[in-house]
Amino acid sequence: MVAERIPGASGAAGDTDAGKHEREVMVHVIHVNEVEKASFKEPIDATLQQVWDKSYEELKIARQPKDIFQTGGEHPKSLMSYLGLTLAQAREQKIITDFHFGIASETGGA
Amino acid sequence: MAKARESPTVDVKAGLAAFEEDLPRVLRALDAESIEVLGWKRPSKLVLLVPMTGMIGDKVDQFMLRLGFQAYRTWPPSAQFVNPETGTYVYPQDQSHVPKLTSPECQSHIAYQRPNGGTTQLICCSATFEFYEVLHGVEQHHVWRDTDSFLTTISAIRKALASSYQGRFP
Repeated sequence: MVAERIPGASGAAGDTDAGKHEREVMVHVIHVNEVEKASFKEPIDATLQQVWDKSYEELKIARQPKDIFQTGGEHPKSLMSYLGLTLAQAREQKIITDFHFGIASETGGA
Repeated sequence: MAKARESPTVDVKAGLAAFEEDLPRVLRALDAESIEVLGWKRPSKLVLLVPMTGMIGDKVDQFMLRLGFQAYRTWPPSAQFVNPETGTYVYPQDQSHVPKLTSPECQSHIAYQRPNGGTTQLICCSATFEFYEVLHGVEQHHVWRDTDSFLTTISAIRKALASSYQGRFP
């Protein structure tokens, strides 16, 4: 999926090299348990941990101890092992394919 | 409120009301105008069918998850994989319609022993009704909260399919 870019946020006017000079991207987060969503701009060099932290502010929902940050979409994957990566690094390493995320409480079942 | 080691109680009227309240919220959160846009079906007021996929390499397997809302939202929705032709699960002939899930958060069993006899398909996850019905042990912080939604259940099972899918049961 092509990264969603903020109009005017590119580092170079008239830039046609999509993604190379982007500074900010629009992030979309769904809180799965509470069924709330938020969209906000984040620097492309923000870490996943920073995006996760800001998500609670934007959602106005308190963090729960067993919350998990995960990718969005139909095949959610935990991002808990990659929280130190920036958005750009996570995308380059194909940990994420877009900037849609989810927050869900851990479940038990083993 | 759901409790560990306690049999769930069914309240169809409350379950339907809670489902009717949550369905529009979930659709809004998913930017969907209708369940059909998502490929979901609602064959009856208390049942939602949700297609799911499991992937191993390039091989994609299709499954159908059946959610039931008879005890919702005090308890999580019933969740079982069903034969897409019949919308039901009959052991053992329908066991190939169940994905093998081995996540620490969510495992699947084709015939789990009920406490009072007989067996049931169990998606062993604290976000399913059957998990409490079989009186499964659970950590307190994993117990279903009555502020949770059925999207929690769908997300937990999808995450297990994405991370620990081992193919179909034979």
